[in-house]
Amino acid sequence: MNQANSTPNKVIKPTVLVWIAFKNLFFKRLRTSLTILGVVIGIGSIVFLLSLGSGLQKLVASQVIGSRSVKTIDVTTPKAKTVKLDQARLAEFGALGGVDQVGRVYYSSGRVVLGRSETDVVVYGADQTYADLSAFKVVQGSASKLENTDGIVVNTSFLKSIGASQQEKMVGKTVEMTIVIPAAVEGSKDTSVTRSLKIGGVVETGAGAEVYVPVSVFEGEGLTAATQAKLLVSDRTQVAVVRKQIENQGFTTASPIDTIEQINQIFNLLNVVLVGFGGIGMVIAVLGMFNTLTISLLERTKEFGLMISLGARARDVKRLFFVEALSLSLMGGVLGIISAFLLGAALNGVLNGFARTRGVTDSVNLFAISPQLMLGALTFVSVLGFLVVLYPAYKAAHTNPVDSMRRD
Amino acid sequence: MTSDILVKFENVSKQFQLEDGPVEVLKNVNFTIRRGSFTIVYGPSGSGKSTLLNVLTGLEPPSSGSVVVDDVHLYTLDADERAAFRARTTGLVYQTNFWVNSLSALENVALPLYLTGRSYQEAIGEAKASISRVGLDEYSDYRPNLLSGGQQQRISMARASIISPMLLVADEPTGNLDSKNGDKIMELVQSFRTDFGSTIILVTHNMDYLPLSDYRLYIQDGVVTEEQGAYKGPQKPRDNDVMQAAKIPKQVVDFTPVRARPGYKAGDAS
Repeated sequence: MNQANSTPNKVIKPTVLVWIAFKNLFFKRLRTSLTILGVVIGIGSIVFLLSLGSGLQKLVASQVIGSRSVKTIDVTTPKAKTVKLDQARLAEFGALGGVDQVGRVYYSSGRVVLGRSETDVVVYGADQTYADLSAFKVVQGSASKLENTDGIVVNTSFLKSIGASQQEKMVGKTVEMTIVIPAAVEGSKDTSVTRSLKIGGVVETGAGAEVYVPVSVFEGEGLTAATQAKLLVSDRTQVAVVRKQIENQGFTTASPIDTIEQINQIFNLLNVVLVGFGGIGMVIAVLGMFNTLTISLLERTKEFGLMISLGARARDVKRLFFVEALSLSLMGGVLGIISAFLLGAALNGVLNGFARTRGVTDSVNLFAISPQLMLGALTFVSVLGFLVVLYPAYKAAHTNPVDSMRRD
Repeated sequence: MTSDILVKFENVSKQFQLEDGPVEVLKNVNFTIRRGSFTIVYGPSGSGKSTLLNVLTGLEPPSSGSVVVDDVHLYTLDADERAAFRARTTGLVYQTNFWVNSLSALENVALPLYLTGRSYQEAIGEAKASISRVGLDEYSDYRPNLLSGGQQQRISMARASIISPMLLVADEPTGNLDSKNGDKIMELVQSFRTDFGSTIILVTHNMDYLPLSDYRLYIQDGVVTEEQGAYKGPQKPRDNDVMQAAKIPKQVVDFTPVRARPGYKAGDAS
């Protein structure tokens, strides 16, 4: 029987190749552990720093955007006298595809008297839709009192300004307000109106004293063109479409998305800097891995010669090296991500614990590791492992079995 | 139809380029080896014996000529195909043993089967039988390089036997061993014929083993001379170099066959 031709060419099974690779790695335990540790530190520092960038980005975005919906659009007019936000126009906005709600607000100024105190305030004549879409952070009472003709909502800065130390006792109190009513018709003068109004709620808004009064206060004095409209669209993807349509009519629009994009731009730059710092560790890890694989190549030249003489193909030897390198990088990568996650979680815990002792109840995540970050880090470390092993694997695959086994 | 000839060298030459210029290690070598035969290659050190074996096993392409093994023109195959050919057909034993150091003796014995696509369990199962065949079961879990020279060589024989090779190529397998261990190894070498029907090609410096052969290839300065039939002892001293290289006094060349050596008993090697 012709033995050489009777059996088809069969090659080493991948499972056996992986098993031999792990035996080799385990055989040099200390070296393998140190190499993996290098990758853990390298990839861990990158993930840790990026999680800090990501956490900060989310924190800043949440602070800036607050509870405002990214589906809202603020509309103002750059030429209030010619391009007006009147009822007809607002109705047109409401009829645009994708627009669910339209709120309006009038800006003005005024003076408030409470007992023997008085203060100047910014006055907003807002309808309830506007108030709802603004998603005020309510401290006391309710922000839904603007439906009542005599209900107002004030902010905490107003209370501070007027000298009210106990916020909880202010809801239900009546104040005397003098409100400036801007001239409705060009050429006429601003007028003012004085009303007794009841505080229905306290909210946290800007740093200045602000009072929200019912829209009827302004419209009852003959004003028809609002200072600003706030629209809610049904879907985030509709925001750009609706904005375009409104801007084509001569209005100016703004959206929390603009702010988010600006924040993202800044943090993308920050992330590059952070990756740069983490990259230093990664470069050292890569050099360590290359060193390990090269030493392994030199130490095992006879082994590779033996394997080839026993019938291993060059590509089997190359694959063995690839499996070893990818195992090193993946083990290092996974452990690095886990380490970064645990360190970030621990620091988040410490920070929140410290904040609670200072009376802050809201917890924040300064370090945020997303699934995308983990997947990206694993892909990155795998690609690095692949690149690092190219040269040693090529050399191992081209071992001359005769020369290698002759060498002492 | 399978030919009776297993190995055929036709006009094989091998040159190496050295700093001083080209050196011709094999010079127009021609010979044939029949299936199932026992061939001994002998000659002085540096005469080209190992190069001959390397060319024969597909590890060292010749500068010219053709090498046919089992009706396959070896050097029409690429290096990977020749490796696959070796994996299926050839058991190799060297004077100095080489191992995959991370693997146990048993796993090293199983290595040739892994290379032919066998699963871990299958290969280990057969490796146990092979290691048992050389009587070293209790050393299965040892790293081979921790064993004695004789034990290592027996493990090496087990590794060569695991594929039931068509061809056993042994390059001075007893060279580093004392006579007891050497004889034990020679017993194992011969068992390849009876157990697997292997064709055996052995390189040796030990003239004692020549009577075991059916064929002999005497090589000196790259020139190979074929000697067929049972060895009758030297008709005349071939070359003082042979004896000197093997450190054998001239009178020893008038040898006694290995099985008849006084004091030798099968299985008494350690």
